Amino acid sequence: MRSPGTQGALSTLFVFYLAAFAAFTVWAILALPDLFPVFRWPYTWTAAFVRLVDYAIPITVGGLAVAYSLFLRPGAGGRRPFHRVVGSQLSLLVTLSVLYSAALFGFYPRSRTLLTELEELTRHGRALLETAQEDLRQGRKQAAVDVYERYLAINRRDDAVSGELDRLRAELHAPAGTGEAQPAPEAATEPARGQSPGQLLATARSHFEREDWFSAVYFADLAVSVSGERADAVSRDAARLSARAWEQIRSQKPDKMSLGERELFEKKQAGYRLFQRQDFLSAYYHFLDLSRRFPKDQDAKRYLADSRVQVERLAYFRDEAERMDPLPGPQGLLFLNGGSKGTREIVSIGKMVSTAGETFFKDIEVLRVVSGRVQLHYLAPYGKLESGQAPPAGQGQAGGTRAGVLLRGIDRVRRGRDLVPRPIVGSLRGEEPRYLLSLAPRPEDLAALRAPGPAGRSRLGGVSLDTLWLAREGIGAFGQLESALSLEILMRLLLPFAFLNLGLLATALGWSYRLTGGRRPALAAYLVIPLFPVAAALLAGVYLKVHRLLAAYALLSWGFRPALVGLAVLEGAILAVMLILLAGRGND
Amino acid sequence: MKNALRLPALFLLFCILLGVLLTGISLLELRVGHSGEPPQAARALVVSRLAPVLLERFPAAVLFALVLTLFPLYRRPGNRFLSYLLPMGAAFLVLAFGGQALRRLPGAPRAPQPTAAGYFLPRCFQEFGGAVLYLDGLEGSRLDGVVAQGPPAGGPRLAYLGGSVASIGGQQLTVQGGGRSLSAPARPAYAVLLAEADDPVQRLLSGFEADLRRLARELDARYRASRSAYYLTCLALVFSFFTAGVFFRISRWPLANVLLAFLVMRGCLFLFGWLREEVAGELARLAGMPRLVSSLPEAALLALGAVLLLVDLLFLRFERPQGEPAGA
Repeated sequence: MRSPGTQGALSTLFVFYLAAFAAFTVWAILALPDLFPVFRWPYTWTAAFVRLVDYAIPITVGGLAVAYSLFLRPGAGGRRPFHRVVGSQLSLLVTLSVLYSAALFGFYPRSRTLLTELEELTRHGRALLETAQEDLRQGRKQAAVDVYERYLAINRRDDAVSGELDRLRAELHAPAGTGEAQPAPEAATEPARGQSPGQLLATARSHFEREDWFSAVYFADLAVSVSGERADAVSRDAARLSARAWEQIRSQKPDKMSLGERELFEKKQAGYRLFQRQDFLSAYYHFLDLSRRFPKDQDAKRYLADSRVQVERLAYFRDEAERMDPLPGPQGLLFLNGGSKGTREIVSIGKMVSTAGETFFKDIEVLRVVSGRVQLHYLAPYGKLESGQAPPAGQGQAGGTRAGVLLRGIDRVRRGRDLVPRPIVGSLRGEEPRYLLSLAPRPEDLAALRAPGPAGRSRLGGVSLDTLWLAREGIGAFGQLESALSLEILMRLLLPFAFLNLGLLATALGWSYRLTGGRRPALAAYLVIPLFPVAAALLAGVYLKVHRLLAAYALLSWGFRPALVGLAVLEGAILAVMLILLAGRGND
Repeated sequence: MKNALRLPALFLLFCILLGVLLTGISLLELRVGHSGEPPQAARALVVSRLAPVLLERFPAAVLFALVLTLFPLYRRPGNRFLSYLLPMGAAFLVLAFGGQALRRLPGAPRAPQPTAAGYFLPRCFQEFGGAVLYLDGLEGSRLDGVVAQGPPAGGPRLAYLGGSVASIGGQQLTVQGGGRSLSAPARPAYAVLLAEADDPVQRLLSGFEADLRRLARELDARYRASRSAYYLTCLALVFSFFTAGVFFRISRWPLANVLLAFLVMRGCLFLFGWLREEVAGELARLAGMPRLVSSLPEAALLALGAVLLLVDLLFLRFERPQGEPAGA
C-alpha cells in the first residue's frame, strides 16, 4: 500500500473521515439532548462515533469516488491494466472493511447503549433530585440524605447538592458515609470452609475441650453439613458433639457470669436458635447487632457470615441494587415468561445491569393471566438474578432449571426498610412466598428480548451480534418476532460486504468518470465535493433497502439458514461483478 | 447517425428493465408486509395490485430510463439533432401513450378484503400506535387474550384487555376490549421488518419516493381531466429531464457533472410537485384563472428545459472532448 495512488486515496479518505467526524461532532452538539453537564462531552464523542459508523459506507464511497475521479492520475509509461493501478487500493479497501467490521461488531453496540443510558440517567437523576426536595419539604431529612447520595452517584459534580448534603448530614449529626450506605461490620472470614468433615470435627472437639461451646456447636454442625447426605461415623460423631455442646450451653448458669458475658451468652443463644429455625433474616440482623456490640466475639462473626450467605439466597441488599442505577445496561425488556395451557405471564423490565458477576433489574412489572383472568399483577422496583432456581409452583413449564429473580430487597444494616413488590392484582406473597420470579428465558438471552418500538429495527442496534445470534433460536417462545431478529443478524452481516462492494463500485465509477484535460478543475468544482457523501448515502440507502427486502422475503419463505446462504451467494456474485467492472477499466 | 438511431432502442430496453425492477420491488414489499395472511390471500392481493403498481411506477421507469440513455448519448455522440430528438420523442411517446395503454388494461381481479390476520401477529409483541400489543390468538376480527403495554409511566404499564375486537376503517386500525380502545395506522404486520430507522438519509429517500408517487397521481389526474393537459405534462417532464443532461458536460470533471445533473433532475421533480401543490392553487385563488394557472408547473418545466437547451446549443460542444475516457 505504498503506491502514490494508495497514498492519494488514503489521504483523501483520511480528510473525508476527519471532516465527517468534525461534522458529526457539531451535529451532536447542536442536537444535544437534556443531559447533566458531566455527561455532555462523553455523549458528544460517543454520538459522533456512532454516526461515523452509521455513515461509514457513504463517507468511504464518496471519498473513494472523489479520490479516483479528481486526484488519481494515470501513471506514466503507457497503458497498464487498471487492476495493476489499483491493486494496492484493493488491499486498502479490504483493510478498511476489516476495520469497519471491527468497529461495527465490537464498539458500536456498546456505544449505542451508552447514548440511551446517558439520557436515561439524566432523567433518573432529575427525578431523584425532585424526590429529595420533596422529602426535605416533608421534613424527612434522612430520606433526603439517602436520595441525595444516590443522585450524587449519578451527577457527582453537582456542588450545590454536595453542599446541601453536607449541611443535612451536619444537621443529622451523622458522619459522612453513614446511613443507608454504612457498611455492615466485617463478617468473619471462614477458614473452616474447604476443610474435610474430619478436620472440622477435630476443630469442634478442640473447642469443646476448651469449653468454647458455641464454637464447638458451629464446627460440629459444619462437619455434619459438609458430610451432606452421608451418615458415616464422622457425621454421627459431629452430630453427637453438637448435641452435647448445645446441652452444655443450655446448662450454663448465667448467674455465674458477669453482666456483659451473660448478655452476650443469652444473645448468642437466641441467635443460634433463630439460625437453627432457618429464620436467616432475623439471625442476620441479630448477629449483625451482636458483632457490632461485641466486635471481638468470633462466634457472632461466624454466624453473621453464615446468615448473610443464607440471606443472599432470599433477598438482595437494596444499596447494591440502587448503586446499579447509574450503570449502563439493556433497557425496555419485554417477554412472555413461559406458562402452561391457559396461563400467560408477561414480564416487563425497565433496565438490566450486569456487573462483577451479578445481574440486577430495575422497574419490573409482571402480569399473570390464568384462564382469561388476571391472577397476579405486581410491580417491583428492583430484582437480582439468582441462578439455579427450580420453577416455583404455579408458573408452569415443569422440568429444567430456571434462573430466578429475587424481588425482595433488604437494608444491609437496618431492619424494616424492605423493598417488596407492590401488588396491583392478587398477592405475590400468597403465590410466591419467597418473592421469587422464575425466568423462562436464559439470562444471557434477556438483552435481546426488547419491546418493539416505533424506531423499528434500531431498537436492536445496541444489542451485540453474538447476543442476537445466541438468542435467535427459540426466541419466538418469548413473544418476540423471530424473523425480525434473524433479519437484523442478516443485515448486520451484510454491512461489511456492502462496504466492500460499494467501495469497489465507487473506485470503478471514480476512475471511469475521472477528470479530463490534465488540469485541475475550477475552484467552484470543489464546492461539489460535500455532495458526494450525500449522493453515496442515497445510493447505499437504496442498496441496503433492496437487500433488506430480498433478505426478508428469503427469510420468510425459506428460513434463516437458506436465507443466510442465499445472501452470501448474492454478495459473492455482486463482489465478482464489481471486480470484473473494476478490472475492465482501462488506464488510457 | 447509427449511434443516434440506437438510442431509442436502448431507451426502450432500459424502460422495460426499470419498469420490471421497480414494479417487482413494490410488489415484493407488498408480499413481505402481508406475510401474515394465508399464502393464497397474499398472492391474490399481489395479483390485484399488479396493474395499479405498474401504473404508479411507470413514469419513474420512463424518466430513469431517459436519464440512463443520456450516458451512451454523451459517450458516443452522433448527429446532434437526431441524438436529441429520437430519445426525447421515444420517451414522450412511451410515457404518454404507454401510460394511456396501461390505463386501458382490463381490470385486475378485486383485491381481497383485508382481515385482522394481515395486521396482527398472535403470540408476539407488536408495536401499535405508541403502545405494545400482545394477543394469544385471533379468529376473524376477534382477538383473544389481548395485553397492552403503555408508554413509560410511574405506575403499571401492562393492562389486560382480554377478548377484543379489531376493526379496520380506511387507513386506521382499532382494537376495542377491556373497556379500552386503541388506534393505530393500518400497517401490515410484517411491514415492521422493512421499517427503516428514522435518519436524514431515509427522509431524503422517502421524500424522493413521495415525489415519484405524487407525479404518478398527478399524471393520472391530468389524464382524467383532459388528454391535451396530460400530453402537455408528459412533454414538460420529458423535456426538462432530458435537457438537464446538459450538466453531463458542464465541466471537465465528469463525475461531478453526473452528480449535478441528478441534482437538477431531482430539483425538477420537486419543483413540479411544489408548483402544483403549493403555488398553483394559491395563484388560481388570487388570479382567478384556474385553467391557465393549472398549467403553471408544466410551463415552468418547459421554460427551464428551454433555457438548458439554449445553454447546451450555444455554449457546449457536442463532441466528446479530447482526452475524455471512453469508459464513461
